[in-house]
Amino acid sequence: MSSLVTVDHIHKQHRLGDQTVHALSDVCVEIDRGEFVAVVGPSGSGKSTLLSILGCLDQPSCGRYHLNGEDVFAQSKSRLSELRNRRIGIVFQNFNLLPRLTALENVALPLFYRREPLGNPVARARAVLEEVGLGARMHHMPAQLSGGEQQRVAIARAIVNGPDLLLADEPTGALDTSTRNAILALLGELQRASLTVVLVTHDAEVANCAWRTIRLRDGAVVGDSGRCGTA
Amino acid sequence: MRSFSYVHLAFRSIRAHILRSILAVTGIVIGIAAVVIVVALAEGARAEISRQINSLGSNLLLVQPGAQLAQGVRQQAGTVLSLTTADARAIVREVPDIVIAAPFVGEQKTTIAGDLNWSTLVAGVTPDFFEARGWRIAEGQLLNDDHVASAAKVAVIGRAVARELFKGSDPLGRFLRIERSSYLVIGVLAEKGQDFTGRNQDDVMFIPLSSARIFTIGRSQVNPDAVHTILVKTESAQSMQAAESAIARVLRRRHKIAGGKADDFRIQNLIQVAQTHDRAYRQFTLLVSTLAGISLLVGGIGVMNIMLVSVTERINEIGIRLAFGARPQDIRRQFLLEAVLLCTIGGLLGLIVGYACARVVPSALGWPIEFNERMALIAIASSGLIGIVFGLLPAERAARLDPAALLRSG
Repeated sequence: MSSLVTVDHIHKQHRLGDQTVHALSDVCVEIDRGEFVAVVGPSGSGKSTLLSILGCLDQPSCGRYHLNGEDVFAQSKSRLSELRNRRIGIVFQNFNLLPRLTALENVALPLFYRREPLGNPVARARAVLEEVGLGARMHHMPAQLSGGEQQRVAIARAIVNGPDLLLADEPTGALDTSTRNAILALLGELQRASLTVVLVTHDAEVANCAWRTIRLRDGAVVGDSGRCGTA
Repeated sequence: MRSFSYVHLAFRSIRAHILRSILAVTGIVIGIAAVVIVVALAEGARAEISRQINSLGSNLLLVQPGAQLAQGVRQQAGTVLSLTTADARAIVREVPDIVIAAPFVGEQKTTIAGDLNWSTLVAGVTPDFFEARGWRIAEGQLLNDDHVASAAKVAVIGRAVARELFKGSDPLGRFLRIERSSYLVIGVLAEKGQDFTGRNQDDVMFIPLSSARIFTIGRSQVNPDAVHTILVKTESAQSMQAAESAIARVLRRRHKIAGGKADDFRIQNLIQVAQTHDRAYRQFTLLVSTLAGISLLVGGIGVMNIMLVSVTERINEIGIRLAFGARPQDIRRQFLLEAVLLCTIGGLLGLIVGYACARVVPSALGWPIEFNERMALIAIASSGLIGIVFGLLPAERAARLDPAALLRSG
């Protein structure tokens, strides 16, 4: 099993007025290809910050992040955009769909920003929507979809470019229990189809769906249930 | 394919916030509409003046004696009139490229027909005068050489005189009286309208030059061969300049004016008169276009402000796009295109509004207007340019947003 994600002594500080907040302190993590990892911790533990860094949205104050052997933050801004486009997909707690685009158009968004455009982006978007079970709702606007459906659209959008890594920030936080289970099941399905999934949550029950749990507290790793699926 | 998608995206965004988009471009719409209306009016006026000047005749030089002479007003007895019929003949003979040199005497007189009377310009002319001035006959015939040779008491009248003195009935064959002389109407001229000084050209009565001298306008004791004006028509517009100098030479020689002394005549080049008017109108058009252009700038500032607000409101959207692979230049391009599209649409709307207003209002008031495709292109192009200039700042703001800050979900 090869290592997909390597986080090496990552620190992240924020300035808040005249105080310095340490969001992450000396975090080291290794994630292999095909793993299903949950990152848990209370509010303020730095899990969202870690996710931002893994998603190339934020830069660490120091430390290294290797994705698939590539030293991410040594790359140009252009390359970072490309990684966000092709190698990584993100799902958010509040779905973050564009409200004035249809489900299909939302899913097609990452295809729009490909360096080498697809011949038929609409067909690909449609196929992925069907994969997540929303073939019948592709021309609906987000406002016409339920929470669960919107999250499915968000997931479809995250995987439409065939990324290596799927990051999910509290993906079920805004959903009721049964919908939550359905979404988690979908994520599990995707992971089994060889996607690497990293799920951030403060809910222990949600974390249980993953094979491996990494615990964060106050910006540091305080527990790691290990690799290859042992609880 | 990519650029088309951006345009499509821009359209969608504009449509998505339609009310705000309309408000944003109001300034541009008004600015462009104002320019269109003003330029249409100015161009219309210019074209009308041009037409009026041209209706006087083409390639014309007006040679007049140097003494003050208002059109048609009789000189005080005893004033020397330095231009003569012989001068006219000499001009034709000696100056190259002259088609016609037609002498003219004229005076405002009261004409009477039956129990109606009308004060008009009575002009004594030779037959080639009509050709020089481009007068066409509508009914009957023009004056000919026989009429002049025999000092016949015949008249060719303009439409206005025909209307005033003969109302609805046919003037041909009827008689007009001027003081003690009776003239037979042998022709009615086709309408010409106003000239560029505002005078109604159709308010005129032409009689043979000889008849005018003998019976009606009279002649100076001092210089019986004198005329009020010589109308000179050249071969072409290009030969007018040379003809002017040649005529001056001929006249100075004939009038025995020594070198260094002033001319006792003046020559007016009607084409130059027309060009002067034309230039004046063009300058006016430029001035008002500039003023209206300033309102376009104001419109641009309006667009910029609205777009800045829009960027702030769409922070989430921008963050999402960045999170899924948009580069800063993609965001910049998106917002810049939106600004350009918005302003161009505004320009088009302004063109339509301006066109509609310029059609309706002036025609109600009787003002001439003229439209110009080049104007339309400039309007659209400048609105687009405004879009680029004033869209830069919002686009740059959008492109600089930091994706991490945008998407913290806590």
